[in-house]
Amino acid sequence: MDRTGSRMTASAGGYGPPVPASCRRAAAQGGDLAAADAPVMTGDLLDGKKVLGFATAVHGAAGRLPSAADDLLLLEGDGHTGPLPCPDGATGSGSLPVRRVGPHPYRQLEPGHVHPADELAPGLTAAFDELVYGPDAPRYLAVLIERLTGAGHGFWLAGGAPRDLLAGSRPDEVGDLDVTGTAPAGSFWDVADRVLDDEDGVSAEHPRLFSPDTLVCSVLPPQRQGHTLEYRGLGIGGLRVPATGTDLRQDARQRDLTVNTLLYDPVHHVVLDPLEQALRDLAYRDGIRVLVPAGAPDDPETCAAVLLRGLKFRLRWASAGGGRGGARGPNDTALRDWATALPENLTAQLDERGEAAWRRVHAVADTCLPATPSPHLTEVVRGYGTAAAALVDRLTGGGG
Amino acid sequence: MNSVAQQEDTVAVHRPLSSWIAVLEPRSPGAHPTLGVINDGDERADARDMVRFRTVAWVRTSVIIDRDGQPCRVLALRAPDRSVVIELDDVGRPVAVSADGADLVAELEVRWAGLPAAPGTVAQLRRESLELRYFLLFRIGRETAAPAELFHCLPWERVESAARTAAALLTPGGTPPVPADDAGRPPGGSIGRAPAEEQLRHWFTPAALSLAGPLSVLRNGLLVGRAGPWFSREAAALLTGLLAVEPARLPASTRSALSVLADRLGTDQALRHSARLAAARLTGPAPTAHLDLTLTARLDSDFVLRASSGAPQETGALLEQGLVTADVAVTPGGAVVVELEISPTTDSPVRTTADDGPLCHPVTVTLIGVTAQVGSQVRYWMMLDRTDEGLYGFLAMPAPEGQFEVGLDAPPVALRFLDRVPHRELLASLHANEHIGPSHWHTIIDELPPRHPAHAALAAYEAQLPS
Repeated sequence: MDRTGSRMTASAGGYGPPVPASCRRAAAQGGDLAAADAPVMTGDLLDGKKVLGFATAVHGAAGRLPSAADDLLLLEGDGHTGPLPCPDGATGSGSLPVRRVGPHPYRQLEPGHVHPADELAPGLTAAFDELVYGPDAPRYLAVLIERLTGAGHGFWLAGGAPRDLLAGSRPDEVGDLDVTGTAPAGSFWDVADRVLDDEDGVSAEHPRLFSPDTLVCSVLPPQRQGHTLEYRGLGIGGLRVPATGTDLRQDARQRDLTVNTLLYDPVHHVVLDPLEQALRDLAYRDGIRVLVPAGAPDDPETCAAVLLRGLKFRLRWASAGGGRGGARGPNDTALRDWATALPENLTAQLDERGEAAWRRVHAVADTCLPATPSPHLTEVVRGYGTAAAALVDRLTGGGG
Repeated sequence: MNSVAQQEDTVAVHRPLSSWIAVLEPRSPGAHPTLGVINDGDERADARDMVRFRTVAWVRTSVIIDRDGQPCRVLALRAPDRSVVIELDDVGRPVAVSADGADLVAELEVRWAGLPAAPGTVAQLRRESLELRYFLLFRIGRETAAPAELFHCLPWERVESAARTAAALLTPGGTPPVPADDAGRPPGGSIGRAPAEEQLRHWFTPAALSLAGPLSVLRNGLLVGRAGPWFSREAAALLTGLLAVEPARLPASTRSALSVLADRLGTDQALRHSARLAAARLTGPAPTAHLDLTLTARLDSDFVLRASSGAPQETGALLEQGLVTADVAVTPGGAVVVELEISPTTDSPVRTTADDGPLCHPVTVTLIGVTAQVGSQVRYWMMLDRTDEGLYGFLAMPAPEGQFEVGLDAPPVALRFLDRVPHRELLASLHANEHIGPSHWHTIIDELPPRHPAHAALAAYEAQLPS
């Protein structure tokens, strides 16, 4: 049953797990006006204007995490012109006459996008279960997932966890836990704060971080080494302000490489491939991994970041080899073609942005390039075109 | 330490206290400067470890910026080229500081290896923002032999309030102290969850782990009458934290309030010994007075082996503390045998560990003496059988070589809450509970949640039994 009351089938323009019960309440109350507690989705209509996503108002007492009252609706037209909507545009308010026509994420997907985990690889569900519910998982995580999904939000593991487990890594080899979902930052913290404060004493002592720059919500261990969880709502691009949304394809396109666009639903045990490319490019069974940019960025800083992250995986997978079924790799033809087509004045464009832009690019490079430049890196970069060579030269002090 | 590290230590006197910084970006004359993005975009990094702060001599300072439309003095660092970074809290806001506070931080950083803890220092720190105090003490606790009194600058009155509330709610007929205002109470005067600003969270972890967190959850749970199994987990976690904390890091009033709470927890027979010991550590007349109350036994396997002539001998100890009696012995066969009895009490606790299912008592075996592995410790979990005569448990574990210590001071925990215990530890514990057979284990373990690691441990245990 979707949010307008239509029963969901594979032939009805959607595929995957059932839409959460809290969303079905909207239909049960008659018409298509919002139930007060049903999450707003990208594509919903407010006063005839389409909801693009959510921003977060940053204000209030020092040290206070945002709440749902700080979540702001971004409406078509707001993202490109004018100031932020006032806080009255809160997302969860029952007083807002929101028409629920935006599709729940599972209504956005075709059959080729959703895969039961164990059909991809035997034992994959157990591996994810160990990551999410096992002895080394944060104790609060299971309750957090239950509360967020119970409120009608989508919640998925993203980034390295689905990529690496599919590629044959063990759960204890997976690094930080990156997750995404449909909850805007304030709504996420309303739930997470309560879970962390009330569930158990170990979790209560976990510091909580929120970045107003990126809307990333993090939970650290008490010793502040590493992250136990990093959450950011589904991504959207092209807006003036940091924002999240509920569109799976939009999220996928603003990630760096296709192999990093996989999502895993820990409740329904399915793997999502919104672009229907990631599984193929990961070559998780055997074969050669393919490095392909997920989107088509034109912003120079974004281009630099994608390029640097692509180089990171190029170097990492060329030296590691192996993987589930002996996947070899990588094939970086598509990445090289994309890099070669970058404007030759990429570094000049960054110069125009100023010193702050270069600091941000350096920060990305610190996590992607080896600390000491090597002849191998130089050789690899040479095949990536003029812009890439100039960028890496500047970052490693080799020229510019 | 190599010369590069020594040079960095000489240069890096003043470094960020916070994990996050932002560059103060100058604007045109007359315009307010703006802040760059957090850590120049590398939000996962710890600013304190950034190369720029290890290789360049920054100076501690403070600057006045516009924060929420108001001028605010915030903690900062200035580089030799006059560039400035602002220190940020965990939600990306500049950390407020007074001019005197910034000077004090600078002085403390210069004297990092031998920090002063004068009352005036603590008083000045108390006037500063909680974020600054937390970050400063976090770094101090990690990098120095921190003077205990410095931690007194944290808002311990919040801990005391939580402890008094929890103790009152654990007292038959008790009611929690009335708060200064009714903001935390829902209409009708019924007891409700403590408001967000009273949650203790991570602020006290520089001083002690497993103290404020379990206390807060305990208080919250008692206030709302939380259903389901949870009490024994938090009670045990809190007592564990109280047994580990350096008491001098807590002000006397805090130690007193926590001691009262420990006494209330001790009305449960299973928690009596740990609670009594924790209270003694906190408020005893001398720092080591509580040592007379411990349940530990020093044993020597080699002594047993050396007694090879004549009849086989056991070496052991009979431990008695209050309600608890423990018989600990090393057998000629090379096993450590522990038999534990906890007598019932006449108390009627408001909340009891019995509500959370079968209990397991932790038994530690720690190597001592002159060996390469001195200090290494193995832990077993002893199932406690609850009868009208009290609690009873029995373990038989492989005895390590040489001298070792058996410890029984930690509080028991319900088996359902051992879901973070490593598989090998659970498996070894199943074998060590020699009086419990597979059928009884199934009775205990089959009821646990399906993902509990005890299921896998039981399967492995059964596979290892002689056929």
